[in-house]
Amino acid sequence: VKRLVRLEINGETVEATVEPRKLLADFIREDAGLTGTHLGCEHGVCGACTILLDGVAVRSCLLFAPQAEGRSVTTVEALAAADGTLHPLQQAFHEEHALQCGFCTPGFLLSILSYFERFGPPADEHEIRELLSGNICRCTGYHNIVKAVQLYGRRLSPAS
Amino acid sequence: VSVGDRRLRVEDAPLLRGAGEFVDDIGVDGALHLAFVRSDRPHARVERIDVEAATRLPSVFAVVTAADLDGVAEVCAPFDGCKRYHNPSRPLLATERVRFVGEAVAVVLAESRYAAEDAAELVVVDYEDLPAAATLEQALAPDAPELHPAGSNVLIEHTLETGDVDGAFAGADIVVERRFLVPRETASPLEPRGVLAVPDGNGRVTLWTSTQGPHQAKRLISETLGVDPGRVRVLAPHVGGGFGQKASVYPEEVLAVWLALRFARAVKWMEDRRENLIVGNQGRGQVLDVRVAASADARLLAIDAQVLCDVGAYGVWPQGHVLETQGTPGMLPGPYRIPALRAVSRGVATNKAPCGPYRGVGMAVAAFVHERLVDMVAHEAGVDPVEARRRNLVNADQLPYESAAGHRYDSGDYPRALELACERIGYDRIEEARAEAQRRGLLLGVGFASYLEFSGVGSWVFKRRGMAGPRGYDDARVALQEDGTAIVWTSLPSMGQGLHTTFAQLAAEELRLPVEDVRVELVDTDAVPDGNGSYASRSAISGGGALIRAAETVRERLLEAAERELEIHAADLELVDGRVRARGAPAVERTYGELVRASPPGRFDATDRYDPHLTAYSYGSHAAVVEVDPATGAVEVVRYAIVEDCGRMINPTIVEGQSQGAVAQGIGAALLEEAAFSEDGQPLSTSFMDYLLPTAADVPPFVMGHLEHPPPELLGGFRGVGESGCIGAPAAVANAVADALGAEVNEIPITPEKVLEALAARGRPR
Repeated sequence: VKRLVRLEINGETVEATVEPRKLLADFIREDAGLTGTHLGCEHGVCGACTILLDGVAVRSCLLFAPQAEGRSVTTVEALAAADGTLHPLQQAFHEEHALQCGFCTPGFLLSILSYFERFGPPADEHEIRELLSGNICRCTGYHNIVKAVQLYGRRLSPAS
Repeated sequence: VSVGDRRLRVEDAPLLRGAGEFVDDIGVDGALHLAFVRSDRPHARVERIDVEAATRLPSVFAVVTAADLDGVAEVCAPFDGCKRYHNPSRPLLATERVRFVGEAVAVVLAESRYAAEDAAELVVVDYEDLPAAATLEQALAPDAPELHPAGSNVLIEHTLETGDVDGAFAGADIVVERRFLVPRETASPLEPRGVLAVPDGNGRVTLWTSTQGPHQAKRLISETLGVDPGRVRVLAPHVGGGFGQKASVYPEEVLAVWLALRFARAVKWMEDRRENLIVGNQGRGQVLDVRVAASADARLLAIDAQVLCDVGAYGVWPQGHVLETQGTPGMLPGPYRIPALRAVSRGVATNKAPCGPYRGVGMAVAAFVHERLVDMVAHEAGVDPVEARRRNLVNADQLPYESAAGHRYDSGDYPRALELACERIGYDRIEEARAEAQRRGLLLGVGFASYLEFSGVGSWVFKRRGMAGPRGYDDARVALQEDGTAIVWTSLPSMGQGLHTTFAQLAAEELRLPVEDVRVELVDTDAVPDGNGSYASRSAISGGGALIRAAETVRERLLEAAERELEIHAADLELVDGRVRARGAPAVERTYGELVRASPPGRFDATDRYDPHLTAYSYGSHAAVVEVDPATGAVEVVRYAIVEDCGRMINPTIVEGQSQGAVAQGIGAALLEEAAFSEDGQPLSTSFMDYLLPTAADVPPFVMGHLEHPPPELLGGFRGVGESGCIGAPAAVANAVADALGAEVNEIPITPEKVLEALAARGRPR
């Protein structure tokens, strides 16, 4: 039996009548038409599908759409400005060559932003590697992702 | 000058904004979604397939089995002149037999993927189990079940013999004989495979597929389905990683097109991760029994190897079943002067998923073996491992050098790469680091790996190997536009390696245009005639060469047009920054745009091809420092130095990204990754909780070093760089762990369990 699911995605209300088993990731991709959220494993390990749910990073492949009913979702599409100007974290990824195929990148961006929001800038490289370790990248070897996080952190708080 | 610049990538912005277009992101109204019914048996006869319950589901459009595919040929990689081999063909859907867990038996077409998967669950297949040959040992047993009518499960036997091997062993001061094990690994691109086939209603079909080789997909599809090639268009959209797994064309891709044409509907299939881990082509899977002969002062004299490769149930297309079997033995001498070599390798069919290309084919295993052997010889001779390498590496003044396996190493400075790796890792201070780690209760070890990577394989190599399927060339097309900018098309998709940036840099340099004025398009088989695709570290070489040639034609035509327009002899004209101008009188000029507008359409649209007549051998040395916790057996790679030579670098930042990513995969291979199977052929690593990929916490920061010796005989002076990291890393890490433990490590992945076993065997930790 299908049911109406209504939630807010990137500040806009999205509603659709879907099967209760529909994954939130599929809802975002198919019903909201936002294909920047990628599915890499569909079992919660790779982190490519990471979104913010009420501001906190979650894996949208491990939630059903109705579980997000009435809640606020942020996807990668919300990060850049309307004119296309990259978010400072996206800009840091660009400058440090922190992406190759780009499939995992949206998940990394949202995981990192959520971490900064909750815990502030990481203290050292070890902490950065720990915070990144919930997302898998098969292309970069992580070296440049670490550098991008460092660059973003430096620009965020130039004093430290 | 734009080649050599650390230019930021042009492809980044859409990918960062979530506006990339991967196959699954392409929306087509009314597409039918596919789900495959796959064998859960390693080896069985298919007695009956009952699709009725599945077909009755309201949102199911059709369920298709082999019986419906009347007249569609099986897929078989073409070979020519290959001795002692049997080349089995593979059905698109299993007919009377299944030969591995995951083999497709039926396919459901439904309104949604959810519905298709529901229906696939309802398809009932009656199997009669057959004895399985799931391991090399089982497959080679005298009473082994035979997978194919080949007389045995040995599908290919490949032998190399050069020099006086027996004499070398008879006279050797040092002989080391060991068995090496490298398991099945799987590439695990973050985007699994996926296809979208859209028919146009007039017998023409467009296929978007997550592939490394769109033109070879077009070839297989048109040949297998008997469709005129002009009616098949293949496009590679953004591709979420490949690493060789997407370098083969799969039955699913052919079948998607057949279904789209048969039902006149768009069809889409997105592989899920479980499928990818079970049925996506795997790599490696070798057992090697190797002897090495050396003199008392650690000079290598001969290698004698028996290599067994676990090919799996079928060959892959177009590479067949020969890749590891042919590729490994020839690289066993590595970058060393070894006068005698005997290697017998056998490709053995097993009831497992097919083994196909995976980043570093043959070379990663060969490097693991030769680098472990060098360390063991050094140990026996009482010589420092770096010194043992110095004594054996082919020196710069000895290049070009023909190895005992018949490889002609082109140019470079192998010892310099080793010295740089020593510097970068701080080898002269390693004992202090060891003592410091010991104070923390950890065992520190350092390991080196010097390796070669053959890259940019041309037609002559495929021909020599009997491989009639792959192309040795790639195509590039350069078209100047009326606004004076250029558009570039090639046969080489980018799966992350930044070809839209590097090809733009190269084209800009060749066309004397600002880089911003060159746009590189996604691969479209309608845009250039043919080509191999981006695998085996070839894109810079074959694509770059083709691009250089096409640009040269455009330059010549620009000069001709300007000669006419300006009435100045071409010899007195020069091309600068998008203009043709008179030498010494720069005010007399025409912009490219003006010349294009003054010429017939298509005048500055040139396509060319490059088929490298020689192989370019990239090389390098890696150094790894590891710390082993003797209490838990955990290994941490704490420092890593990469020194490589890929010839002329188009973009050093991208070269470093390729190297670092490949090293991370190699560290994964060394410590974590194994596509495991039960003794009876059931895949055991079917999720990312079982197939462990390295995370940011599992790899160290990388220290880079570059040498830049362009191979003199090749257009552009490029060598490949895609695979190098994967080749050196397992060897460097294994050598480092062996050094830390004071015990041999001849089997990867080096799990904590194996570390603890090695420590226990060795006695008390030092």
